[in-house]
Amino acid sequence: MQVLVADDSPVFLEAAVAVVEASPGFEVAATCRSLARAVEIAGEARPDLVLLDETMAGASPGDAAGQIAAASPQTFVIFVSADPRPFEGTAPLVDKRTLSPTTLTDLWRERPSVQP
Amino acid sequence: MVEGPERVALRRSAAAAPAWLTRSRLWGWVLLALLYYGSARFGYAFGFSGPIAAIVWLPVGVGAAFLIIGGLSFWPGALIGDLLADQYTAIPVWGAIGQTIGNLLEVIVIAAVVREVMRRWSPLESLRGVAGMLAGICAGTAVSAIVGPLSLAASGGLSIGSVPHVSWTWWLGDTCGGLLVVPLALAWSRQPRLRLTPRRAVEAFVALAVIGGLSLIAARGVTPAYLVFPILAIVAIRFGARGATTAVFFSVAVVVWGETDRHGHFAVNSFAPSVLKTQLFIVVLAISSLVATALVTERGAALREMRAFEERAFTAAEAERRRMERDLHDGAQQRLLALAIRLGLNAREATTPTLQRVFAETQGQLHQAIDELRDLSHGIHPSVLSELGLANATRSLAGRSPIPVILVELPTQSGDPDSQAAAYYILTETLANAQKHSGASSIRVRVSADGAGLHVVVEDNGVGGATETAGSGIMGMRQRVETFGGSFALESPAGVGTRVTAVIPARVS
Repeated sequence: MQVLVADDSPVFLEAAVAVVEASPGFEVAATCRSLARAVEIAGEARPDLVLLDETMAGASPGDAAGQIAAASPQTFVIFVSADPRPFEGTAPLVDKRTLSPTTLTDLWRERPSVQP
Repeated sequence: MVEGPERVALRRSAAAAPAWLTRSRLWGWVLLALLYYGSARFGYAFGFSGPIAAIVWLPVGVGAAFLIIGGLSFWPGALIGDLLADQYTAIPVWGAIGQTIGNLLEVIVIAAVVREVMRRWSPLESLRGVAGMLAGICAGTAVSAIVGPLSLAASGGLSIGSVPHVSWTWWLGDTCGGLLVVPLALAWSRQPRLRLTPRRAVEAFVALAVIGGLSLIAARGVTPAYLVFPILAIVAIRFGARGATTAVFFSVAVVVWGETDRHGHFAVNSFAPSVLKTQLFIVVLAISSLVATALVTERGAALREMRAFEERAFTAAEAERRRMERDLHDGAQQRLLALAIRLGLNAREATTPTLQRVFAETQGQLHQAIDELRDLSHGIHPSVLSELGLANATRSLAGRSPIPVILVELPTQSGDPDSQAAAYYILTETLANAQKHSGASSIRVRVSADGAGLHVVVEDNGVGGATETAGSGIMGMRQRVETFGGSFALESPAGVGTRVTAVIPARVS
């Protein structure tokens, strides 16, 4: 599975990349440090999965997920957050501290099936 | 109350004369000569000025005010005016010329001193300025009161023996003229046009009527003249420099008119003791009114400056909070989170039970550190607010509380970021306190917004008995709210529960 990791904190981005690399069947397709760039890359590279920093996604994470979906409908979005809070939208939200190969593969397995 | 811009305008008038005046110097001379001469004739006509000395010598005020506002270079106007005003039939020519020189020096000295004072202070709206202006007037009039009588005596128009007495009356009369006209002219020469609401106009009219009435019965000798003082103090407070100087001028005009009406035209030789009384009355009235105006204005300005300073300090503190929160969030917090993840990755390699236990313990400690940091950063400035707004942030806070929270009311609009942050701070603190100390089974939260600001009420049904001690979280909440100019109340009867009420006024940015 091709993964795009988007986070504005370089330190956390590196760690998230390590988690993806350690997850069997997943590999990092690209990384970026802004929402706009993430939407762009999603449109070009059509990754299977985007790990998107919720804080970076701005005022409305629901909107951010919508933008990714518009650029690449097949892409599954997982939000990660340093300070997880409920928000509008269906995308899963992971506390940054609990991000691990296990959570990643679990969420991927339980993702809603996307109709082509 | 006099507003700030007027102060600036008044100071500026020292440096810059009105455009129409600077356009033609000659017209300025003619105008000043006419005003000077006119005010002298006015004094003769109404009998409060004589050929020698006066109860009130208005030309000194007219001349000095003109030179202060227009510039010292208009002095020839005062010279011409004074030469025209001299009563050559009553006094020897050389005495008249000497007197004129004294009068000219007088207005120049006053104008020079007052202009110098005005470079530093407002002459009407600061105590130093008022003191400087008074010093200038007293010094200038002293010159005239010495030169005038001496030159009259030298030319044979006055006996040497009467010089001290004439000098004294002369000085008081000129000082009265300066005190009446100079502040009045300065107050009205400033830029902003007079704007009176109908209500203020009625107030001004009533004040003038009362002053006129009191002055009139005082002038008739029915009541003492000082009855007018309280009204003048009120006018100074309500209407600032313009009101005060106008009211004083009006009151003095009535009193002096009454004086000449009762005792006949003023002449220094038929000088009645009541003249001295009238002059001292004018001096005291003018000075106390000027001082009252300056005090009121200075206090008003100081208060405005203090409020502006508080506002700036507060805004700076809030900006600093936001910066610190961002730094914590972007720096230490992200690094600790990254560490937690890497630790998790490595924990999978731990094969022995001892190693697994060490990893688990380390992870536990690390998660605690992350929680504490998160709470700290929330307390400083919750980023959740800028993202979700107050209502949603409160919902999220309620969702995390171990004790069930009933959200009775949440605001539809949140107000400015700073008051939101203060409201949110109250919520986090009170909920944390309730969780730690109250033993409550439920907490009710009400947050509402109206034109006045944000109202926060948090009630629990716990043990109560909370007190506000120094350094406590409750004290911290009170301080945070009170820096906003808001109010904070704690009610915590033992056994009944705790209620915290905070009102955070809306801030106009």
